[in-house]
Amino acid sequence: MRAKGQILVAAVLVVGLLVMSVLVTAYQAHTLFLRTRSVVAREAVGAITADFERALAAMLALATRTYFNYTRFSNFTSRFEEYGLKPGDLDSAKRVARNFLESWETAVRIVYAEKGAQVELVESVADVSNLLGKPAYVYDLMLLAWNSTTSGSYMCAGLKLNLTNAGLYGWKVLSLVGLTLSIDEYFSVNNTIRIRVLADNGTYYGNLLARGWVEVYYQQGGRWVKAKVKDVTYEGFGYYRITLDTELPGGTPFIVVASDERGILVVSRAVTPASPPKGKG
Amino acid sequence: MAVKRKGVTRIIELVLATSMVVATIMFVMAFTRPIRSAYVRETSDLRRLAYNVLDNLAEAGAFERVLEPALKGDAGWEGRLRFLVSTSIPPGVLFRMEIYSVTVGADGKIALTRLDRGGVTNADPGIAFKEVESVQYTYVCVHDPDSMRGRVFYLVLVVGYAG
Repeated sequence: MRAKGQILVAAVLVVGLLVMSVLVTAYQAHTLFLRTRSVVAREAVGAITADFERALAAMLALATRTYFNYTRFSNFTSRFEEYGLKPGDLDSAKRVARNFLESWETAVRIVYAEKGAQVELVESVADVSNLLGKPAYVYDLMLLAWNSTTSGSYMCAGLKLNLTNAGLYGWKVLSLVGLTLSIDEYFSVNNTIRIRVLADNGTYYGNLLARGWVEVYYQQGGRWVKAKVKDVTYEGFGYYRITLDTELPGGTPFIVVASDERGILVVSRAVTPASPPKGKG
Repeated sequence: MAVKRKGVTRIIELVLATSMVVATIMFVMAFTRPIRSAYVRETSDLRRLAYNVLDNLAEAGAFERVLEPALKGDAGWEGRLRFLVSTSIPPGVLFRMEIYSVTVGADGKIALTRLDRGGVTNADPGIAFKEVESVQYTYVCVHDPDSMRGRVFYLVLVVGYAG
């Protein structure tokens, strides 16, 4: 009876140790697998996603520049003529953008072939009502909501990605690139316009002076005349103060054109406040 | 009946004893470390370094400025790119970079054209790399000048230690 008990003790101990060692080995193997997989996948996914956003930005820049002034930006726009880009035509710009993104998709598949990259572009809808202050959605790839006090240029698409050799499946990202421009106020006292510029989802854009540009045009005799900008100051939180050399009369329509460093343009329009009627002496 | 009860009690004791042994082993495994730990240099660090270098150059818009002269046939661009990458890489790390222009043919096929002549490197021709990591990177130009916007490049950066 005593011998039987000892055997039982020994058996339970041995089984316990075996189970523990198997569990620890499995845990270590799982940790190693996760670590090696995440390193390879994380960096490749980051690189592909960043380039996808650059591809969207480049095509939005092409569309906005074509729509605003094809000839002026011909160093960029004329290269896409052979792909069917027509001056001032947003639909042709969308077609070119779709073809470009398909080519980019193929290039990514070739470049990341050793990781087993499977890429799929998905057109999606994005709500930009909070940016424009009115109901607005980006669909059919792009939205150019221009010539309002608050205007915006946006492009939205999704990316589905598998890296089969790295064990990554089902990565999805929805990207919205864009630029929002609001004409906040016109101060006739010192010919100053206060504007606000936001990038993408509403991030304050503070690089307008260093890497982008801004121009002001006003209507005179039925045509648009470029105003001479004396000074532009950044006030923080995306706000800029533009001081003009030209005095704009009351009730004059004017437009502000802004470009970020990615080349995305946006055009906002407003009217200077009417001059106060002169009182009789 | 008394014998049976004794047996059950013994089994419970055994289970408790086993649990104590297992708990002790787990505790020891979790809290003990070798007195002299060996730190292994991993090549994954090189891969992270390579991606960071490429990302930083991309964010700064450096590729547009360096590769524009390359498309125009200027011979000095490889030296400028070599300098830019060298300043971002720690001393003792060797690199070699290949740059391809990605173009789409009329039939929709992708063509890769190599732009460099093997000059974007800080390694002498006779030196072999060891502990090598190679990263691939696609880059769509978005920054100034306008003549570069929308162009696509494929970059391969190989980093390693001297063998």
